[in-house]
Amino acid sequence: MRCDQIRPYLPGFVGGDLRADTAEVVTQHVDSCAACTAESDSLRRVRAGLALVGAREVEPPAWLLESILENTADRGHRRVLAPMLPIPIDEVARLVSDHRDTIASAAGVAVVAAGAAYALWRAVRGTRSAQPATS
Amino acid sequence: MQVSPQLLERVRRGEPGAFEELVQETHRSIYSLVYRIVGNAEDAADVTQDVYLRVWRGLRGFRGDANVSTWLYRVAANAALTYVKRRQRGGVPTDPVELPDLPESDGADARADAELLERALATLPESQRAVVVLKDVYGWTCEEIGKQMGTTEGAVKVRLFRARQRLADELASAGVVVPMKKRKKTS
Repeated sequence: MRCDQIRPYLPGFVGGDLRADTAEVVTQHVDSCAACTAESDSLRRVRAGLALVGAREVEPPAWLLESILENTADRGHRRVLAPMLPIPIDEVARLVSDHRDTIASAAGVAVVAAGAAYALWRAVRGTRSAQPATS
Repeated sequence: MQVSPQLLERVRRGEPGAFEELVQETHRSIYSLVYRIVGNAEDAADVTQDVYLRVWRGLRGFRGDANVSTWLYRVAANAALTYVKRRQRGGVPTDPVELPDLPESDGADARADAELLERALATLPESQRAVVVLKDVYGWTCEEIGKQMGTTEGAVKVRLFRARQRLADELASAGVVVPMKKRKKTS
């Protein structure tokens, strides 16, 4: 195979990310091609360099730690204020916000049902009080 | 980044100061991962704060059968990828950042490559950068990355290969390796 057919596979070849049959074809070519061997070496150098990148940490801004602690402490106090909730209060707020329409509809239905139940109770009570006493 | 099971247990019991200890021990590593995906310091700080809010909320549901460091990295990667996806619609550019020196034991060439590559990462398209960071810097599998990004393993590999090739081209243009087009073809 020609170099231009093999070259697109080299970045996967050096990382062991090709299917076995594809990797075999690429290996055969690279073993007999100085240019593709050199290209593979460059790509291996990229991978080795990237592995080293992960070994060091990027220094965060000085204020970040304090800010994270403040944010989570604030929510901790709010959690203490709502100890009976099975989920954090933020989550409750988010659920309420996401399902506002459903909650409004359910509340409407509940009010109507409560009104109907009350009217029914009044009607039943009125009927009983109007009945003559039987001794 | 290592978090001891004892610290995790203390955090889950709500022991005073335990969550602060967890943040102190992990925030540099988490910030570094987020920075490498989002590509600039200001956004990385915002996203890192969001990560710890997610961690705070999620700790109750954390089963403890997975490694807590792995879980933290997943939460961080998810937050960073979500942020990048949202930002792609807004088109905010990325900035280079000042980086600390690598340890002497890594060798001068390797350190030079890593410094060059860290800067070159910031020039990659966001989707390529996220993939190559998670795969080649943090050692995730293409399958894991695909799941996290909501795409196929094949699509991840395409981005990964392009990213590696662009980074090799960056090394070549910096004179670290010989560019392909200048090499003598033998087949």
